Amino acid sequence: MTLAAPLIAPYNPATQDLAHRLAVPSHAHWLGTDELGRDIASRIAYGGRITLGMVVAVVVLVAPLGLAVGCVAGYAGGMWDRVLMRVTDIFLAFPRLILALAFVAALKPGILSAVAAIALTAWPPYARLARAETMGFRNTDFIAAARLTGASGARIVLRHVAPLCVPSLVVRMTLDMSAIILTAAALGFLGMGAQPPSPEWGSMVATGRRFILDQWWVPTAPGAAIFLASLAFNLLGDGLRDVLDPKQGG
Amino acid sequence: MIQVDGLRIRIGQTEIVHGVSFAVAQGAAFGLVGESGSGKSTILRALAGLNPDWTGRMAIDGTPMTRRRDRAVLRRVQMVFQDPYGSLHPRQTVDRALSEPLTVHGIGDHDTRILRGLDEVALPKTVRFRYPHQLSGGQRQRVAIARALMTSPEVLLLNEPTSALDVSVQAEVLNLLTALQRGRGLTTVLVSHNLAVVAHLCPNIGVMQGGELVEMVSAADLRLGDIHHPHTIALRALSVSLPG
Amino acid sequence: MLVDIANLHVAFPTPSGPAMAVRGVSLRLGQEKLGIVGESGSGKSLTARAVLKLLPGQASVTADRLSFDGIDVLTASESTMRKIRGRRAGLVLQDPKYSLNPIMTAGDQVAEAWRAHKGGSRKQARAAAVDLLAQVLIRNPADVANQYPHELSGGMGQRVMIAIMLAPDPELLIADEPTSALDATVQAEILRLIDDLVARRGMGLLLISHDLPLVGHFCDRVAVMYAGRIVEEVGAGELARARHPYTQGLLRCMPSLAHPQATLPTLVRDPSWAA
Repeated sequence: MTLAAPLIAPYNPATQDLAHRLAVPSHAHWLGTDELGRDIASRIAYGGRITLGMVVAVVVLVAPLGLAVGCVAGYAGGMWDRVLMRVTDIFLAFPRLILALAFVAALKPGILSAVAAIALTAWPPYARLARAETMGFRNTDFIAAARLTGASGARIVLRHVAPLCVPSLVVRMTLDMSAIILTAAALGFLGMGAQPPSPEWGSMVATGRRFILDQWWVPTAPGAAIFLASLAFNLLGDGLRDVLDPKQGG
Repeated sequence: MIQVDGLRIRIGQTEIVHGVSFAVAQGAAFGLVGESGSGKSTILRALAGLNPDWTGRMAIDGTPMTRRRDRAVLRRVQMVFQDPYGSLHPRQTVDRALSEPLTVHGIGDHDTRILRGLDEVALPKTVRFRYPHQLSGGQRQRVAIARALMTSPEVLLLNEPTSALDVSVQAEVLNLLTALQRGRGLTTVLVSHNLAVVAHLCPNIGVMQGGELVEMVSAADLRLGDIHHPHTIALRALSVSLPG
Repeated sequence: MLVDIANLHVAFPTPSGPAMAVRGVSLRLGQEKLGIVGESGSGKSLTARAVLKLLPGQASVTADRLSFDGIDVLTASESTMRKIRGRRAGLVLQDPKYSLNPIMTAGDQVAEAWRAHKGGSRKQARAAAVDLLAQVLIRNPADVANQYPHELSGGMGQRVMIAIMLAPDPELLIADEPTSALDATVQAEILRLIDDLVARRGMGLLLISHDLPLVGHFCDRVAVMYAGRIVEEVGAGELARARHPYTQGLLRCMPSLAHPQATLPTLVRDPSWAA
């Protein structure tokens, strides 16, 4: 829906209208306006592009990385497994938000570094999951049969093992998206993610929180957007699991 | 064609096979019988190159087998597994399963070869684009056999190929294996716990117990009861005590 | 009559309408050994499970009569069924690996089964468990009682499973492929054990198997199932004289040590068998 932001949004999200600043939600401004008179509904629609764009970017970076690390570790075993899994453990040992904060602080705050930071902290669970799945398949007869054809290790991992790990990774990914949204919003809130004036949900809450008592809708609307988006992804994940989970028959 | 001398195989820390020797002539069928844990399947997997943890000597057609096999050797030795539900990739169609060995070995002309392969194991063309879960147990085992034959191997290893199947399907698969073995002149090693199945397909049989080959008998002697080792006698007694 | 089934139907809903898995099975079982033989998908396991009301939730079961010792299973409540299951009728499944609890010792599992039905102290239960393990001919019952399932061989695990089922002195034992995961030598021992226990305790036995010669050898009567129906019921000794072409075909298509054949006769399925 946020893809269609330019069509839906009634106003330009950057247009300031100081005459109507902090307006109450009305027919003209569905969710009111913020401290600079910008239409909140429009800003949420555009902000969604940034937040969700970040989520997609993170997932696109993280899932293949985790899949590759996990499958190689699980299939090769031995030294490979030990080295790759220790690296995974190291990243897993850091709390996600703190590592992301430190990373962003070291670079310059902005959307790109936020994405990189979240990606850095988000891949280890995928590697773990892919490894566990791979270990389950490693000793099956169909993998033995693939080895007998003379296929190389890389080919077996890529063509035979990885496709089997994808469904559970996809489910995990959709369930994870809400966490990524929250992290992205948290970084924005703390001023480490998207920079003003770009309309990112987290930073919108941050700038709006000054008005929470008198103009409660200013921070509440983007907060609700964060909540709804997380909820939607969680529901999507649940639904996908029912469809894709091979353990539940079908 | 196959020569095995003083073969010892370990799985992890335990030695499973304690020095086994046998030879199989070109185009012959050799059977290994024994109970679970006797080491018969372990020998088969080592022959196929799936377990590198062995010592002794194995040779195929005079070529000594090394721990790591190159593609050319793998192509000559193929295997059919016990469980037709586990030996086919659950998310690959029959077409994909059969074309995979061709792709790996750089053999062209997939279409003709796959159709010929299906025909050889008496499967209709319509199964080509089905997934394993859409096939019956017997059909899957036929696909597994066709896959093993795609690279035109000289040696076919059969690990309990019919024990997961209903008896009526078992009869069909055994007939198919007999025909293929004769028709292609395949050198075959069949592992099974079922004496009657082994004797049906293999003129020469090795009886395994506790990781050792305790007796070599011909199928004819086994039928007549001209056998000596107590374990062979016990297995035969159980097999013939049931009517049928 | 221990088990009395008349015209049992079991159906499963599918997108293309209900699929009938059992289509009008009738059988009666007293204190005897009845074998049900058939290939996979013939409905033999479903028939046996229907007696204990252990079918999956989506299955729809209808029958003119389905009773266990006079109790109508079709209308029986879940609590009535619980009193039958495990207490008056035991179920032994194919693979002890999956039916034993991996994190409890064999002795504890037998003791728990015993206490659940008979009460008594832990100590009494323990003693009873060791006694039961001895009854299933385990040579060193006290040692085995302290072992976990993964330390037991397949045959030993199946003995423990049988001991658990015997704990409450059941009147009926349903054995669903009890030996098909076991080696031939162990299989013979387990069957001998079941035979002996059934005779000694005066139980009824329902043995489900795909192995026609084995069942014919072991049971008093054999019901042969095909496509959800009993096509033939024969006395065990008369198996060789079975009349139905399906039974004959099954017997013929097995390779045999005594009668070698170059090519095995295959079973040509006549659509009329399933009609």
